[in-house]
Amino acid sequence: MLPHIDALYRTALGMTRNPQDADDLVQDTYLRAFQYFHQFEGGTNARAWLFRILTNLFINNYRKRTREPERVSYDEMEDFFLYNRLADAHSSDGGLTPEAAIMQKVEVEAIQDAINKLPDEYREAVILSDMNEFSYQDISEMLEIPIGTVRSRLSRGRKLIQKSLWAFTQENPR
Amino acid sequence: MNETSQVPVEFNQCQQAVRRLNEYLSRELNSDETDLVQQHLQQCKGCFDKFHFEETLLKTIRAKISSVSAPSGLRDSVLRLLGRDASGL
Repeated sequence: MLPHIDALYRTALGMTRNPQDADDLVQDTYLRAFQYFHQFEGGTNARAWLFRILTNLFINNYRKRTREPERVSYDEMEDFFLYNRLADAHSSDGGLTPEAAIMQKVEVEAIQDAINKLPDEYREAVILSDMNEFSYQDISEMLEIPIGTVRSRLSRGRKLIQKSLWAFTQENPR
Repeated sequence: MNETSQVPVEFNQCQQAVRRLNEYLSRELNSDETDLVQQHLQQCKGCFDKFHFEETLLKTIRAKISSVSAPSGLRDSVLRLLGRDASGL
């Protein structure tokens, strides 16, 4: 029954950052999908189709219209930010290795917090790629942006996620 | 371009691998480029550790976030709205 509803809900929650809006967005998605059900041919990818509808509804009905210029400072963020911080901590106090540290310390709350803090454009790309494993081509079609833009948003989004995860583990030691 | 499968010398540099990190993680590199990255990772412990960390981080994020499910009320509402014939959607 409704095999994609959990992934759609997680995606809607990540995009709207609000459980009630996420609920509405998922219902709207299914209603729209059902409305065009006759156009949906067996053999087409139902999952990609549902995500396309959800993303489209989100962009048109929920996303703020403001268009902030992308800030260059993100480009200057170091690669392997989180690895470097955890490796430093590991060599200074001999505690967990970087990999053990993330598996132990990175909880759902930390991930949701990091995703919620991303600017809209980066958040969409990260959610579609890293949570749902859509290809750059699929994401490019869903968000109606060039593949190069998918690539740069994802690259910056991932770096920002690492920064937030680091801050979260510093603020919430376990 | 010659036809040999030899790794170009200029590739044998960490910077070249790191530049491909995101597409490597997203499996967006073609098979030649994937091979080149993997060959570098076999030769460079520093990059191997970092790339492996990035892969683990991504898998951890995916696994942990998957524990979030749709509320049962939402599932019920959708089924009520659509009827059983659309339950495969």
